[in-house]
Amino acid sequence: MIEMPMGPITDEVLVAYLDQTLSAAETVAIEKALGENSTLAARLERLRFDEGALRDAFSGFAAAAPADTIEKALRVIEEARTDTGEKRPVPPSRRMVAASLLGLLATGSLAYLWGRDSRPDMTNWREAVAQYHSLYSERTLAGIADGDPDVPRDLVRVGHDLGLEIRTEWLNLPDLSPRRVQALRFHGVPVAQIAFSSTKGPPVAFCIRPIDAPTSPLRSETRAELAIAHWVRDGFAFMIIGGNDQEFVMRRSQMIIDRMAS
Amino acid sequence: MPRLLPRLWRLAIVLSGRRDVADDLVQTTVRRAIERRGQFTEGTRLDAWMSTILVSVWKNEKRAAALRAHATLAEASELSAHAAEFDPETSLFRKQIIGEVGRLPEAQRETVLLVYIDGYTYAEAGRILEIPIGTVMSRLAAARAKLAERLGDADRAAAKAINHD
Repeated sequence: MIEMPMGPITDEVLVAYLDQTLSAAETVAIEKALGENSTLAARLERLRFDEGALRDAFSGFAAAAPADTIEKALRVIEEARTDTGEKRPVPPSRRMVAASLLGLLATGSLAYLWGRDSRPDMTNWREAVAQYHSLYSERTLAGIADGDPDVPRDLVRVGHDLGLEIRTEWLNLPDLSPRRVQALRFHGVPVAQIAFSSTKGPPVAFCIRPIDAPTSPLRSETRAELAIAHWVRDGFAFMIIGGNDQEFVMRRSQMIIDRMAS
Repeated sequence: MPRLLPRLWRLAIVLSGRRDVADDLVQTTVRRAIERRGQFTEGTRLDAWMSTILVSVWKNEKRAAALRAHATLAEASELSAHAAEFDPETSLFRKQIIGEVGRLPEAQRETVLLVYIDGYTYAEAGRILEIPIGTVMSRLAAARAKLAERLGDADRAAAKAINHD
């Protein structure tokens, strides 16, 4: 065991060094020892892994926590609030929890309690698309006329990039008018984006990318506060994104799925 | 207290490996927090306090105890399956990481989650788990050695995997 001013350099000390929890003096001492002792340096490497990748891997668990659980939990809170929060004086020591738990319900701060991780997971293509689409406003497509002749031509071009024929009849969707087709890339993978103006308000986009994943059914989710419907079929991932009406994007996604199957 | 309940649920599912148990754990934790709100110390972290309750419920509740006794804790395959269930496009790289964390002994798994995923300090994790800081560090050292060894190839595969995410 190598001795340091603060004691032997155990694996626990090396972990504390990797986790940057040592004092400045201890860190300097460790780094000096690492520079002088290859065995110690090798021990350090045997403890090193990518904590960021670990956090990213588990980010989906919190994001996927079931809504029915929160509803039941909030019901418990509401019952407690009804029972104790408003009729009886609350000792000061209770007020912190009351403010933090019960108050969240009373002030409607559900998003604060239940909000998704604020850090975008940019290794997920739908998150990347959502962050991009969040920049769209109703004015984004205002300068492009309905029936733009570039759209059919660009569909062929981006379809060629994807290896998929994107048929114009897929895009004949109620309340939506295709205005622009873009060839995007996500970590080197081609992504087609067909942007629609919507009679219902915010623009909507239909996006496609090739993917090495099994077929999965139509699902809904919310990213960047935008409604998303997504599915995987025959080696391609599809999504419709825009606005906050899940039913709107789900219905139009189902129309595309039906047309693809016909 | 941002994202408190989703984080509690994540801790619950990493501990139990079962969605139904995780749901119960979160609900019981909220109920206990209400019942014990007089024990909360002003100026301390509510999320850490509620995590402490959740861990305590997990370790002491009859149903949880029965599950633990029958070794139905979070198996690697179960956690990976949950990840795939939540997001069918979860990459193989992520599944591998989740699987390796799932294969850690429970004591190491819960410590890794609290420190490296939830971001608690050693001292906070020690209070939540009711163990000394030295034990937290020992668990992390043991977990790090296993994860570093098992995930060594995964790091190199990350660039490739991201194209399948």
